[in-house]
Amino acid sequence: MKKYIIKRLLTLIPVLILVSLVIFMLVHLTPGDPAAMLLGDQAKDAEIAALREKMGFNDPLPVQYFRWLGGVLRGDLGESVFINDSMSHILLEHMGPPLALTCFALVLAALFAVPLGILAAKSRGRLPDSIVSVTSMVGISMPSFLLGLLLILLFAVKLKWLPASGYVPISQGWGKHLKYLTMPAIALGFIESGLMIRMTRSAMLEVLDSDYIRAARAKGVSLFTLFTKHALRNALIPIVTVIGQSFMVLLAGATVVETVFNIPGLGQLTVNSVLRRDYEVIQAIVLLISVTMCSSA
Amino acid sequence: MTNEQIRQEREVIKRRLQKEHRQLTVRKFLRNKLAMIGSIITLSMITLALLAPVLFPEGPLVTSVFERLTRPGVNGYLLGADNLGRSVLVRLLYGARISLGIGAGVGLLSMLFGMVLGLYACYYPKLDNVIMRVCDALSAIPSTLLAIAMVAMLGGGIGNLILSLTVVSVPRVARVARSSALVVKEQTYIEAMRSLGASDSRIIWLHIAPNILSPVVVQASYIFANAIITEAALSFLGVGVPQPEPSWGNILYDGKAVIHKAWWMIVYPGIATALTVLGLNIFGDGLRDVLDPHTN
Repeated sequence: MKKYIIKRLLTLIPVLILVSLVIFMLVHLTPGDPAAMLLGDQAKDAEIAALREKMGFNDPLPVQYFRWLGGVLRGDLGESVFINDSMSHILLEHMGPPLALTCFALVLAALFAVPLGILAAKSRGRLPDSIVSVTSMVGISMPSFLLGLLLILLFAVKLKWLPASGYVPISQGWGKHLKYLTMPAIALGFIESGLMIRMTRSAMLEVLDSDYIRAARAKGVSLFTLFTKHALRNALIPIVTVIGQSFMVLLAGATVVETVFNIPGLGQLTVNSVLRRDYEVIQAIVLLISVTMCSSA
Repeated sequence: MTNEQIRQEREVIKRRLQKEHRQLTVRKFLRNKLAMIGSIITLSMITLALLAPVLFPEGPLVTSVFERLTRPGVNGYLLGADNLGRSVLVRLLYGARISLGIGAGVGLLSMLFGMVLGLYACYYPKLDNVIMRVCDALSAIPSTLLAIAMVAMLGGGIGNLILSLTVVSVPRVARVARSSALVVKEQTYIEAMRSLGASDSRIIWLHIAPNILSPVVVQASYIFANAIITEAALSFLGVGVPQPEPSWGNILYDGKAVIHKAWWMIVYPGIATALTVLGLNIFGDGLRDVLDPHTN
C-alpha cells in the first residue's frame, strides 16, 4: 500500500508541473501588459513602470515562472494587489463554505442515489427502473445553477420554507448552518447523483447476476437481507469509488452554485476577481483546486 | 471478361454495398427511439433559433419602460416581459441563436482539433507523450474554472467564449480519437497501405480518420450539450456573453435580480436550457447505440 501511494504521488509530479505551466501561461501569455491591466485605464505611465518593476514583470518569462513556482512550493502564493492581503490568507478565509457545501452535497447525493440505484436494479426493465433512469438523465442535463434558481423560486419565494440566499458558519449553530446550506447542497448534489444512480444500478445488476446470490436465494434468504447484506456489500466497491471521485467534481461545481446563493466562498471570490481583473487571485484559485483535484483523482 | 470490366463490376458492387450500409445505418437510427426523440428536440430548437428574425424582425433589444415585468400572457407578451420591458419570448429565441451557436461552434471545433491531436498522437509515438500529457494537464483543471480564467484573461465576447470552451473540451475528444485510432492503426489493411508506400498523411486522413469518426461524433454531441451548460453558467456569472446581447445565461442573470417578482424570467430560459441539453444528451446516447454499440 505504501509503495502504491508513493508511486501514485511520483506520477503526479509531471502532471502538476504541466498544470502549473498552463496556469502560469494563462496569465502571462495573454496579450496586454499585466501591470497596466492591474492598475486599470486611468493609471499613469510611471505608476505602471513602477509596478512592473515591483512585480518583476520585466524579467524573462522562464525566470518569472521559476520564481513563481518556487514561491508556490514554499507555500507563498503571492499577494493580491486589490485585497492587500497574502493569498494564502485570502484562500483560507474562503475555503470553509465550499468545503461544508461540498460535504453536505455529497452526503445528500449518496443518500438519494444509492437507494434509487438499488430500486432500479431490483425492478430492471419495469416502470420504477424507467422512472429512475429518466431522473438520472434529467439530473445529468440540469445545470446546477439552474436547479438552484428553480429551488429558490419554489422553496424561498413560493413556499417561504427556506432562506433564499446567504451563509451561516457552523459556529452559529448546526441547525442554522444546515438550513442555509440545504438548497445549495441539493442543487449541487443532484447532478452527481445522476451518475451515482447509474453506477449503483449497473454494479448491483452485475452482482445480482452472480452464482452466490442465486445460492443465497435458493437458501431462502429474505429479499431485504439479500439486497443489503449479500449484494450491496460487494457492489459497494465501484459505488464508493464514484462517490469519492464525485467529491472533487462537486468542489469544482461549488464555485458556480455559491454565486447563485451568495455564499462567500471560492466561487464568489473567483467571480469578483474576474470583475476586478485580479489575475493573481484567479491564478491561485485555479492552482489550488487543480492540485487538490489531481491528488485525489 | 477483360480486366477493365472486372474493375468496373467491382466498383459497382462496392458502391451498392456502401449505399446499403448507409441505408441500414439510417434505418437503425430512425428505429432507435432515443435518438429520434433527441434529434426532434434538438432540431426544433435549432429551427426556432433560425426562425427568430423572421418571427420577430424587431430584434431582442427593444425596451418598453412602462411594460416592465409584465406577466406572461398579458399585453401580447406570451412569456412575459423582463425588467427592462423586453419580451422574454423574443429574447429566448434570439438567445437560442447565441447559445446554440456557441455550443455548435465548440462541438465542431473540438471535434476538428481533437481529431488532429488524437490522430497524430496515435501515429507518432514521440508526439503521443507530449500531446497526451498536455491533455492530462488541461483536463486536470476543472473545466468551468479554466473557462472562467481564460475568459477573464482574454476578455468576454462570443469569439473568446468559443475559444475557451474549445480549449477546455479538446482533451476529451483527443483522448477518444486516440484510443479508437490505436485500434484501427493495428489493422492489417493499414499495414498493407504502408507496404504499398502510402504517405503518412494519406494513411492518417483517408484510412484511419473515417474509421474513428463514429465515437468522435458521439463525443462531439455531448460536448455540444456541455458547452451550452458552461456558456449559460459563465453568462449567468456575468463573465460570458456581454450584455445586452441575449443568451440563455444572460436572461437568467437578469432574472436572478428580480427572482422575487418575476418567476417567468427564470422558468422559461431554464426550461429551454435543460430541454436542449437533455435533447442533445439523449441524441448522443442514441447515436452511440447506433454507431458504436460496443462501447456501452
